[in-house]
Amino acid sequence: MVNSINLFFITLGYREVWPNIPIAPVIPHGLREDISSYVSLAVDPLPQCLVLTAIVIDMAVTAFAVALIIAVYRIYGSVDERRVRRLAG
Amino acid sequence: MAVSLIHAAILTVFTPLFAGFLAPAIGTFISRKWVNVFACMSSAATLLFAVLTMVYASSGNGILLYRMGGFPPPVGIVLEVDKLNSLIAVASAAIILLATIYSTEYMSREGNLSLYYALLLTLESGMMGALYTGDLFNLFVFLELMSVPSYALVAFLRRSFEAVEAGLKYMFMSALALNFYYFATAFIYGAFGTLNMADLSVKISLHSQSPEPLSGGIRNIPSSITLVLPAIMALTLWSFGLKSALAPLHTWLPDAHPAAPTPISAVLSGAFVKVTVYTSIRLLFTVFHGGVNVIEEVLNAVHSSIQVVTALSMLSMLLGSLAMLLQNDIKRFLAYSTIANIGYAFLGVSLASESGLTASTLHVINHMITKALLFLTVGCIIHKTHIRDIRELGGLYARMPITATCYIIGALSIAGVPPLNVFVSKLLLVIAALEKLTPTAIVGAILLVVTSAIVLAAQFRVIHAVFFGKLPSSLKQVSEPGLPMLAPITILTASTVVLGVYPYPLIELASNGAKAALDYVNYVASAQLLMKP
Repeated sequence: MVNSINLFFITLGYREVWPNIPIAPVIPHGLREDISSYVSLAVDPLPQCLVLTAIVIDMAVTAFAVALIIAVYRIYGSVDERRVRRLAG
Repeated sequence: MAVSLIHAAILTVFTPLFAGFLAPAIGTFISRKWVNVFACMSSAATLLFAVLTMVYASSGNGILLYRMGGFPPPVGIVLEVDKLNSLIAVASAAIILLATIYSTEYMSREGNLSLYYALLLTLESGMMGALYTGDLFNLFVFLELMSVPSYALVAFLRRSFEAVEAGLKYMFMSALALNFYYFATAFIYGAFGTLNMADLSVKISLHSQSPEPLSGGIRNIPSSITLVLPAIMALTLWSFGLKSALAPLHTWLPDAHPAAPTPISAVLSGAFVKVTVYTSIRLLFTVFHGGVNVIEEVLNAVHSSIQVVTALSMLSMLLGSLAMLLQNDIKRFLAYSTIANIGYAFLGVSLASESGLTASTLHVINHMITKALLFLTVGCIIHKTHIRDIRELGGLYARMPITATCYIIGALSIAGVPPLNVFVSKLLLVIAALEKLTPTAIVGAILLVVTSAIVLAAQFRVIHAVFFGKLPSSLKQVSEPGLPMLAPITILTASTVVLGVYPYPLIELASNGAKAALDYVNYVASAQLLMKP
């Protein structure tokens, strides 16, 4: 689910500069023409930074979820959701 | 001096973060005893920095702005601290300090002590960051930073089925809520081209004297773009409502809070759920101006979301207090009381007036103190008897008089008995609702009084079952816990009584906080000042 939101976010920052292809938001050598081609061609860098942050966070959450599911398996001997419902709810 | 004080804001966030990473190292290389000392010292340092931040934020124009890394907004991330969030941060830091001191005895039988403190301190760091931040995406990062340790802390006793199952449930629901909030930030960035709270506030403003937006761009946003506003409001309020357990989204809380170790229950129930109450206030009243002087789509979105919040807050108080009558597990009982009190806090928010926000802020602080007190006293009982079912307890007043007195004072306070602190905030809530004089506000006020009576009845049942009646023979050897557990509950009881008898300084602080939340002009002007190098 996070991946679909990430894709949505990246698409927001994409820009259509036909007939050229948009470039990655990197300034290779710091020359003057690099900066001008950056301004006219590059995609929005901010969503990419935000998505990068979100991917890292999602990795941590997923890793923790897997660890917790292992703990569930050790106690219940199963990860079947019909059996893991001893709480009152 | 001024230079050193402004760094207090960032130190409040980063002291517990670094301390959290250092705690396992100290536990591994030095000794378990020093981890206790180290954790208490780092929480105390955080509280100190939070107080310094509050002192600095209440001087001058009432807003402290800290540019992270020196980059100016809107590109750079800022911490924007005003009288509202600094007050809530000080109260939260104080609760966490008391819970840390309490943990030194309560958790002494557990292994993994250094991991426990690492998680607790990281949670504190996330909470402080989420309270202080002035950037919507940074808020998402800090909400995750405070939530991930809280999942781990709920599932901390990982050999019991209850902790693991509750942790799993809590984690899935909360991760879903945070993903929705992340989706909302994507919408906001796509529609308005900014994620800075002050800047967004300017962009939706119709105020004649409002300054130019920091991030440039168009002034009058076409309505084709602002059509996403209902989606933004729905996604953010849904996720904040789930994180603070507003009624139909509360189902994780009665499982998760009792399953955690008791000091953590106190922190989660007392301080943790209040962070998203604060962020809702900030979003509705500072960023979206409470629907005043804004473009029409924002006005509609804010008004309809306030109506939704009103309905859900009434549902929360009714459901929370009625469910309290049915509980036999004493920690579940207190968890349902939290749901009812979140309902009261959101009722104040939904009144959308200065007196309503004052009452709401005051109730947030008072409930933080009293709920922490109740959980910590119940923790004393659980620590000594290992029983959570009230049907198996009884007559403990004779064995634990200090704990019993503290619990009874806290229970009466949370039911709204004068002259204790929650009575004051409930009174202010009723007054604010009657000032508003709309039919829904009056229904809210009536429900508040009725549910308080229900809570009082439920608390009498528990007090009678636990502290009076016949002492079971298996509990003859029970005694009072040690000083690290008694000192925090005594301090909390004293503040419950003092803030009830003499509440004026706190009311003054809460009312300044409410004014700060509504004063979006000042909030924006301070952010604009930072554009100057």
